[in-house]
Amino acid sequence: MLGREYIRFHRRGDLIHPDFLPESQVYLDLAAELLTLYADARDRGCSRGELAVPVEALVKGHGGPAGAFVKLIDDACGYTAAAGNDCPELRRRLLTLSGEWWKNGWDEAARQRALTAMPELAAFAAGDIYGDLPENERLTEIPDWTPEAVIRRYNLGLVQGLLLYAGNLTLTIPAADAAEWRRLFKYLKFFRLLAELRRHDKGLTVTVSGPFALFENTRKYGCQLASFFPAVPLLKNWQVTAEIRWDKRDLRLKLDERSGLISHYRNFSAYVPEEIRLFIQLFRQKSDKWQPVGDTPLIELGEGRIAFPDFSFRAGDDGPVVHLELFHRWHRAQLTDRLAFLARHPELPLVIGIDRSLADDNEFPVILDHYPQLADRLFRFRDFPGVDRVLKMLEGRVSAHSVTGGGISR
Amino acid sequence: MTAAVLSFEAGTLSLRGDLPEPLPPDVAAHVKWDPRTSTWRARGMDYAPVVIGLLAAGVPLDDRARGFAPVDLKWRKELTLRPHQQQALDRWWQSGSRGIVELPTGAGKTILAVMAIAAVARPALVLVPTIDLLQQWTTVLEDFFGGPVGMLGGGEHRVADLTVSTYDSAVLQMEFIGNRFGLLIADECHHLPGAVYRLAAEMATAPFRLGLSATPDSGDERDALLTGLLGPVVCRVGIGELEGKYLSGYRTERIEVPLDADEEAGYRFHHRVYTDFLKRHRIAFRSPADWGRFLGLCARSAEGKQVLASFFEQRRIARSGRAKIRMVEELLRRHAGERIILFTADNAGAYLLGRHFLLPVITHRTGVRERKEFLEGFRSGVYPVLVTSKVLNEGVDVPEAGVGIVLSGSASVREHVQRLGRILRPAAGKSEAVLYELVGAGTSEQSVSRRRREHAAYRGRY
Repeated sequence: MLGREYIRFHRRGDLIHPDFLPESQVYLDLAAELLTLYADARDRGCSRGELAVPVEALVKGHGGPAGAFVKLIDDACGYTAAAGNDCPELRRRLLTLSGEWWKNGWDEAARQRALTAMPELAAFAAGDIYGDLPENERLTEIPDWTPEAVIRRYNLGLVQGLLLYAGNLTLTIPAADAAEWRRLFKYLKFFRLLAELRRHDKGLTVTVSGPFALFENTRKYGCQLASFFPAVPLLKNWQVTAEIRWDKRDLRLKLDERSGLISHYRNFSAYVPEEIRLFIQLFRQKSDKWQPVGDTPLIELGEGRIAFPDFSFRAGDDGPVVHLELFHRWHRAQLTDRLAFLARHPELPLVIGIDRSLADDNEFPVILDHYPQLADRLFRFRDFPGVDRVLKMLEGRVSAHSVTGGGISR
Repeated sequence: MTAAVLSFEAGTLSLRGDLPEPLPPDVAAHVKWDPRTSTWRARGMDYAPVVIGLLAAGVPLDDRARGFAPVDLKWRKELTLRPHQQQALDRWWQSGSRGIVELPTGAGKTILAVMAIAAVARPALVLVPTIDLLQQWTTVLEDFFGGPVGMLGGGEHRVADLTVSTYDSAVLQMEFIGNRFGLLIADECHHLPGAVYRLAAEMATAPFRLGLSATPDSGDERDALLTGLLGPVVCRVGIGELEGKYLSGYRTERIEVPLDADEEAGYRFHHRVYTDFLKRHRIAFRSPADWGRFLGLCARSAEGKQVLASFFEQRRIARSGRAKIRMVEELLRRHAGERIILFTADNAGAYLLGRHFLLPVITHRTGVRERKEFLEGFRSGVYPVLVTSKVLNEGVDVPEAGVGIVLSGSASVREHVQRLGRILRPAAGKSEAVLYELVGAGTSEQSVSRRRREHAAYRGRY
């Protein structure tokens, strides 16, 4: 993400216009030059300090967005600790000795005797005894980006850098595309943001913020808003507005699909934790009958609120579909809502997994007491549910359906 | 009538269920309607007044927000409070177990906090500004109450009935754990009113709160904010009241160090380049925004970049010129056999000393293991000299230190008082502590030094 010093924009009144870059030859060449420089440095195993010299020269020579390009590329690079992992141990031995020398106001004769007897320590003392500081770390990985990708990330980075100073973000999208909504709401859930929805004849207006934003224009959620933003340009039609507090001024940012922003968020799975990928993989191995369904549906909760289950599973090729929604420790309010909704709508083919950090051994029985009719739809997990448990719940739903005739969709 | 339901949600309180209309005034004063979730919402810190307001109005309440219960804290050590500690504890208790205690460094704030935890007998969260204090507090709490003590920060993520957290980690974690503690203790609480850090206190439901600092007052709007977060200052004890009894006696010595001739010429040249630029652009550094303006102007032209380079060079010479390094050597020899802390304004200066004199250096870049080893080695005497930039300014308990040498520092009175505090803790065989302040003669450090000494601790001392 780009910090304040890299953010370039101009103003008309209180409206911010980020200085987006075109994918013109001059910027493509600059990005290509930097990517080549980093690739060469990686191949030669350069340290941060060694790399900084040509990078600074290039940045000074080009000016403009070069520094920001470097920041974006460097953040995506991997570095390893400086050569000589024994540095702390050598330092400990040397400093222990120097402690003795200082106790007498520096004993030069003792120093010479000790270092003559320990050539390894003498060599260490002759070099940089703090040589394992970050500037000496070695470049080992660089991002697999094209020059175009650098420019696109820069343009997104300008918006993200501004959103760090926003208390909330308002997004207007057409009502039509449920698949787009689904993806968007998964990102909201992933970044632990709250949304206030308002339907109108042009579609849906979504005001995105965090719970505490109700009380003060805190920038606590700025990082989450900035992380969420690249999900927006994935939509076909969209409009975003945000109030930005910049240099003690309240400014406005207004963007839409014509702003030319291109997201690097390709699909949500790229941002799903590893355990979800493993879960799906294991699920496919363990179950011949049930298979994960690609698209989960949206559930209208009333009062303009919408929910998307985390997973949907189909029994056989054209069997019933059952949805699974997971609630973690930060979903307490949503869980309360969902339980109440499910109690009112037992026909909904939904089972609910609750993280033990949200409902411990004392709290879970209280939930079951409140909603005895949901007992066969609720289960607990620690961090992430196990496949066997989920399969059991899915089978339970099918059995319940065969008895009650409710709660399964096709 | 069924009950109103109060829940803890991500650092806030959500109030729903059967509620009277209108809400009782004492409740309405603390809640706002949240259209995103169709509930009333309050800050975590408003837990106590909201609950009291509902109960006082006779509203049946299902309190699901409270995530803590009384705890049985077993003592492993007997404690006898000194008179000033007992007085502070009594006043805090009489103020409803809310408020701030101002005690000089070394006067036993940690012991006071241990007694407060025992008195309240609720799960407690201690907020600290640095990793070193995180480790130090954890060790003390384990020592008095037995383990395990939770830690948040420095690569640790363990929550227990007694937990110590850095301010940074607390801001990130409070939305998940903010309702699990009945007592919130903010060490070095003058950090708390910052725009980000204050969220840690605002999102916590703890009804009981204790702030600790040697320098709680800022003299601006942050003082009122701090009072809102923790309560008022309930007890103040100055260095003068404890010096020679519970704190070491001390003297301060300000040494003006003339620059070497070539460095003096370099300083004058670069200082003029820098100040001429300021005059031309009418920058007076009267507000924090001026620094941003200066950097912005520097970034826009080749001349500006040269000016910035000059700014850094004249500052480097003033802070750590060769003559100062020689003076450090002289002082190290003069105090051979004593425990000495060297303070610098920046990491570059700290590592310069560390490399030149082969000394252990602690900065924010020092790894957790090595940092612990350096501190323990300093306490035990394996390392008689320790170099640090700013991370040891506050709170860290090194009573053995009897000599402080400030190679360079900011104009902050608070920083300078805290640095003095590092050498004031009483220890066996320690009669008088001494703090040296090295000031580059004829440089801007002279005015910086004047400003940072404007505190009672330096009054009447050279």
